[in-house]
Amino acid sequence: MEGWCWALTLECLLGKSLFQVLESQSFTMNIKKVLPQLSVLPPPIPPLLSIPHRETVVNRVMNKLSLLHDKIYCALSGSAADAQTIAEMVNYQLDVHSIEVGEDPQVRSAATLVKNISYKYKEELSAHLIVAGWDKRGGGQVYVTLNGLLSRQPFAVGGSGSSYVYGFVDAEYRKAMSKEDCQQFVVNTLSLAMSRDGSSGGVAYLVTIDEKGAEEKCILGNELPTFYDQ
Amino acid sequence: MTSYDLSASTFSPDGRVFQVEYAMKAVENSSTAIGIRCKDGVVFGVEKLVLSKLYEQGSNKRIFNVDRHVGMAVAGLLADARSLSEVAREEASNFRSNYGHNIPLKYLSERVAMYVHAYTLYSAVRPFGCSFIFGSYDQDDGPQLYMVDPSGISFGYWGCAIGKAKQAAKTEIEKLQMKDMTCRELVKEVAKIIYIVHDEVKDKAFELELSWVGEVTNGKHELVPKDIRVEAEKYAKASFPSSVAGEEGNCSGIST
Repeated sequence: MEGWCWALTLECLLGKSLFQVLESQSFTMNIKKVLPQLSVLPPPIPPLLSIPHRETVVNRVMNKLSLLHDKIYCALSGSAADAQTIAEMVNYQLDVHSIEVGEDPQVRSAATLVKNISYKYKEELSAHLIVAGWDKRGGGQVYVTLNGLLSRQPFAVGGSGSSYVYGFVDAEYRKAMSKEDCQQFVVNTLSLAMSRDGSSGGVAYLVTIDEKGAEEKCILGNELPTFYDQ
Repeated sequence: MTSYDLSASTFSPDGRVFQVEYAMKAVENSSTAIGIRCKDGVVFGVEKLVLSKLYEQGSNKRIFNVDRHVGMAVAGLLADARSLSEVAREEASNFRSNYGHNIPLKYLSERVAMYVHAYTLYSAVRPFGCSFIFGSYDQDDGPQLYMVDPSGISFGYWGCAIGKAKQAAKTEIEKLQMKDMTCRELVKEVAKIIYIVHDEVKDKAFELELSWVGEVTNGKHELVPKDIRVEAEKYAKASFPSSVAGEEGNCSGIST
């Protein structure tokens, strides 16, 4: 589909250094879910303008859902370098922690670790991670850690395209949705955001986590549901 | 035997570290403390010997609060125990700050045991001369009971005793069916065991310190309320008449 081809051409044309995250992913769990993570960085800068130290790379198919532990994932947004680094650090800390404690870590622990880093270096970093997963004490949980706060929510959205879908998610969210309804809800939200936001597009990544484990899925652009505008 | 026991950094020819064994002797010189885990909580009882009538009631507490949901009963050198309770408190506090939830008791007792063990490795320091019993209650994990001794090992228990009468106390504890008891029933049994193992001849007066943590306290570790303690002591004194007669006046409860 066009978006896909365009992404490939863009990858060839533009250079390296900073990764600009442009596609959307979503993330679901049993009952709670996380909604699309879309980039907060501005759209690609044309090569004619010379910006001192920021180059951009456009990758419309980057997987922004990174694994913190077997049943805990986080969704990245903002500066890709910052977000990926935080995710790597917390992945390491959770590995050590889960072995010391002798059981799978709680989602709250993962979120607190992310929050501690985000808060301590809030002046230097520019990334927002949404942490979500499943643990045996609290079931499915979603935590936001924007700017170093920590808050548990039934669902969360983040990134540049999120502002277009706040109304949709507030209206359409239901408590205790089934897994399939949840996944459909997330995909719908993503599709709406991707069509309206200039910085978003490409493919949608979906991760569903329950007590059996995590299941990753990638939905191509042409398989996403279409709405009024499309 | 000579010269192998001068420092903790020396083994004896038969593979013992004498300094650590001497530290355990220090614990055995102290009065008894017991901890028992039941169906819905943990109860601690300490036989606190009163060395002088001039002491204020309730001074020299031997049960500490480590975190909201964790209690610690000690036997041995009280000063060593106090500084270790600070270590335990710091561990619990750092864990909460880093990971956002209550520290699991197994992990806390392993961390404190690691700290105690470190002092058994070098000649420049002496081992800690105290043992402790940690107890906690959590909605998901239920009641937990762990003991740490001066050698730096920690084990989980359903019931344990430390101090001079630990053998006698262990025998009494083994008679109990603690897995089927609730905290309220157990409090009375703990008081009774302390009264049983208290040696009337060698040690005259003692105060009974009782604390618990469980469903009955909503997961918060606290000293047993005065009325329940008084009732428990009454049950304890009634359960074994004999040689307590005439010494009644010396056995007083602590003020909460």
